[in-house]
Amino acid sequence: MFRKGLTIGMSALLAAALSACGGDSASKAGEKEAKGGQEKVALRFSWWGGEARHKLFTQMIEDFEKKHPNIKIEQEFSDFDPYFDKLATQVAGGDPPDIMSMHLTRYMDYANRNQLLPLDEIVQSKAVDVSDWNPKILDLGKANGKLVMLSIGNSSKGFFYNADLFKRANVEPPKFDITWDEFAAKAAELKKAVGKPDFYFIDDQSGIMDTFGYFNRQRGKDNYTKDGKLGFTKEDMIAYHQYWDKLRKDGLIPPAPLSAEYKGKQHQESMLAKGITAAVFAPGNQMKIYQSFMKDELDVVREPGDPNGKSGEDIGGVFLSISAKSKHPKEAAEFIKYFLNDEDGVKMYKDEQGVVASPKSDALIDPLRVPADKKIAAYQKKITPYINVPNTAPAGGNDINKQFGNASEAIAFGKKTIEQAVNDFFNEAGKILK
Amino acid sequence: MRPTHFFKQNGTGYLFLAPWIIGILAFTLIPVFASLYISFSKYEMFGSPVWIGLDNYKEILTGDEQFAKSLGVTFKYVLLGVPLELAFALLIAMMLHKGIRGLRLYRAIYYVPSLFGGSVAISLLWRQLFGAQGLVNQFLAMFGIQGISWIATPETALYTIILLKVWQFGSPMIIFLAGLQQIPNDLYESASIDGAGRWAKFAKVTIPLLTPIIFFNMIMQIISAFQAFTPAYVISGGSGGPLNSTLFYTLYLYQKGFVSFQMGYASALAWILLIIIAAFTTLAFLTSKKWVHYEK
Repeated sequence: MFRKGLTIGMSALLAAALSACGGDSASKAGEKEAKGGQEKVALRFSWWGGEARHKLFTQMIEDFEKKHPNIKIEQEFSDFDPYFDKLATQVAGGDPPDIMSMHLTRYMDYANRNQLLPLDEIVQSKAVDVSDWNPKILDLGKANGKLVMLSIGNSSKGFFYNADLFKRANVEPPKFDITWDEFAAKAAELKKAVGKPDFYFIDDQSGIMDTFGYFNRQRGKDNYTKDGKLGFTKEDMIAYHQYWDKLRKDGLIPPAPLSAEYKGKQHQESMLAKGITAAVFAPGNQMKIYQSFMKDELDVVREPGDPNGKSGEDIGGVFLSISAKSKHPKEAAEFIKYFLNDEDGVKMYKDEQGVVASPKSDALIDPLRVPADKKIAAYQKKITPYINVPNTAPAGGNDINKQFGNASEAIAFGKKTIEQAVNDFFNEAGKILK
Repeated sequence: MRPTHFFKQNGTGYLFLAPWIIGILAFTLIPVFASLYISFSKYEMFGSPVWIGLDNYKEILTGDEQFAKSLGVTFKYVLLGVPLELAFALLIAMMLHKGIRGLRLYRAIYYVPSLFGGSVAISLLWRQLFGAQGLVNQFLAMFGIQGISWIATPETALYTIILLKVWQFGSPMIIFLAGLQQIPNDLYESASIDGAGRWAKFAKVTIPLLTPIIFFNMIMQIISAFQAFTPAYVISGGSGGPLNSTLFYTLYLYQKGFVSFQMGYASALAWILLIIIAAFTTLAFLTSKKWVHYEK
């Protein structure tokens, strides 16, 4: 009988399991809400980032709680990608954090589904004061005509390069306005000067939709149109891939397996920090993070551009929004106010996730900046005239990003020609965006 | 029967059953039927599901390349991973069965990988082991072999995960060991008298008498292998890459649900997986009459 196998199997498994699970009495720490005279409110605040940010936020929250004894803030955090996986699950389950960190590439997914509390009233009543902001930055937080999130730090991407490595190799560093052709020539020059076959100029950007956005905007287009369709043609994508494919074949960007292995690794483990590459395209506020893992000094210039085209710069950063389901929107707004208007809060937070929008706050922060921050704050100011506000990605944008990455991998591994990969991408995108 | 009478007679019984009844309702039956309903709807997580009939299933079965790809990856994993794991488990069980000293200790040691097996920590470790600069390549370098990045090459990435599966041989091994101890010694003695060698004893006595156990292990492992998720998620960094070579069915399902927010579609995928597992299990039961030997 099957039953005999079953009995023996089960009893053996049970014995093994019992011996294994002896100490597994996970005691769930019950949340005790101390009920004093004032009603105690617990808020959940979610964010992405690493250890250093955790320390900073813990300090800020301690200070905030001292000033608001009736509010208790609980932190929920993870790396960028898992952050949004988790947030999606929480929101779908009807249990979102009260205050959520948001990103321009993701917020429409939530705004379109009415998950973000409109903040217009809070701002108009000056419960949170943003009156000295550049209106352009305030507008970034709007969705369907309503303000749904507030910037706590903006940064545009830059082309960071290992300045000491250039010096050692005796190669002239890139200039501030570098073109795509000059970029490729610089890469070849440095690789030759360094003289190591397993050294590359920069990580493979052909699957990174953000960088492609720069390329598109320089051509007067964008990744998406206003009504949420693809904003570029097959020819644009082919041209983009041809550029990177040439760099790959010339050994100036890593081969496919190396790229695959480093996919999704954090700053500390990145090719730049490990000296495998000399450069990276990253948001300004991350310079400090890369710098903290490197002995060599980094410097920053604009991402490559088209001498006859428009500027490609976009603007990123971190925003705070309040869940439409939050039971305590007033207290949540109070917490956002602490980030934006409280002098101690502003001074502690500084440029953690980008340069702040308020000139008043910026003046408070300026004396506190370390050299890497100074460099980036200066860069951010220098680059401001070039900034565009790209059309936001429609729902399904995550899926498009993934397909875009797949196309790049297929080309890099030599499984598809550029034309095939681009055609397949357009087919898939058509299905996603229908 | 009046309710008060009914409760007087059976109330205590139901009270004791209540935790189980509530559990199965809240965590099994209701979610199962909800997911069945959702699989027939377009549901983007935040709104409410909209009934679309069989559309999800139609699209999966006719126009979804990634579905076919993920099915291929998963079949390869199950059809290679399960037999290899069972063979390895049996081999170790036979070795431990020899009545060596400290059997309990060895049994525990060999069981350990099964406890950690599917965990995130081990998957991360695996990622390190089989990376370009990993321990495996450092070992190969001692023999002058230049290794590739095993986890980042489309042709080899899946095999590293299959190897991880084989490495978790502990629980089938324990069961095999228990089974081996059930085989009466006099059968081996009489086989020896008949002049059977070690191989003949293994093939003619051990294997036939173990078939119920092999069958049991096989079913359990097939079911769990179809549901493998963590190793693929961690080793590929959640992408199923490189080039979708480790896009396990469950990983694809997860991506559809939690990256693309297509919960209806993901639920339909889940039900198709259930049907596939059921089909495999039924097939195994049907063929079992031919090869599983039960003692009279």
